[in-house]
Amino acid sequence: MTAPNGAGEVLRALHGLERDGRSGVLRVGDVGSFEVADGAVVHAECRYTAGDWAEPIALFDAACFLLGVEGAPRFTEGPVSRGAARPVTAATLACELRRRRDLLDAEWPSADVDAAPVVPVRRVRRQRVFLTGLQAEILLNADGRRTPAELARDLGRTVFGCLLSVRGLAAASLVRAVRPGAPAERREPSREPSRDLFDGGMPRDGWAPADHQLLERLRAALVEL
Amino acid sequence: MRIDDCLARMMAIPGAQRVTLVDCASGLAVASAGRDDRVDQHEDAAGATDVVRAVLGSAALSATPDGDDVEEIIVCGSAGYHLLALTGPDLDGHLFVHLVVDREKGNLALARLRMQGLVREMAVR
Repeated sequence: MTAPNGAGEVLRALHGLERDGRSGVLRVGDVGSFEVADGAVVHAECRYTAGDWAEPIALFDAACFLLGVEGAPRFTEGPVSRGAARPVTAATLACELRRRRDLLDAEWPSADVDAAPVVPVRRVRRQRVFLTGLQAEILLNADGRRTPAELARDLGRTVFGCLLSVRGLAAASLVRAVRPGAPAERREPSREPSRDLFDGGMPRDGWAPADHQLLERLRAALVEL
Repeated sequence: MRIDDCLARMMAIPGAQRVTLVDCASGLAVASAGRDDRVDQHEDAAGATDVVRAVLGSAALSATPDGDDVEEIIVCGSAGYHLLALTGPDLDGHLFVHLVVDREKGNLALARLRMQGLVREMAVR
């Protein structure tokens, strides 16, 4: 969903596994993985999707995100532990992905805001604004560092729900994507490194961990002055 | 309460013909029970989701200027009722239940009451 032309390689791999009826784990970059039993997808998880959703929501949410991830997936053959309560075929996933992309495009036809960090615009050129609860959560949390998928993880929402809300906010000119390249960009999502460095993720008082890159950029700018 | 048990109890509402639990963001049918003679359960779920999203996104359909919480959306047809019951903030407001009730055998007021109770129970499951 994030990469507009993505879904090629991962989907091809899933089709191949289905054809040969294989079982094992298909890893997509370091973002997540599919569990495949006898060719059908029985589980999908990605680092952005909260696991506590009803199973089909979580599976489709993770799967549709993973299908858009670039790069060659790696398959490890082996038995999978999960029961196949409702296994999903590659064709079903492709269909669901198409449907979701259509929904996103109906909301706002540009994928610019899907993968990039978003920030609220400075000036709202409307007298009144009507938001859904999730859109309000995103506006309150959009810090220009987290992508919609990372916001989904932090807010405990589905990735798709967040993407849809962000597209709606973009359509209403309330958020804009932070252009990669402007400030030193890390395309790599996540604050995992800072979590590891400071042993506890969010400090007790609820402040986000310090963004060292931002602090360094600030210091450099001050030195130049 | 498990989702399937919850749906079974919703189907026990007088006149209930079909019940579907739908994810509001994606329009995905999460679970369903009852009569299954529709063209496509997922298409139905997607269509009902469009209605819910349209109502949630419309200031004109809120009862107060600052937007109140929508609990139910009701569509009345000559042969039956559609009750779209939204789960509250306890379930993140991300699911709704679509109940179809026969007009002759069912009673809309009763269906609403029973549904409200069951949705509340589902939210604290």
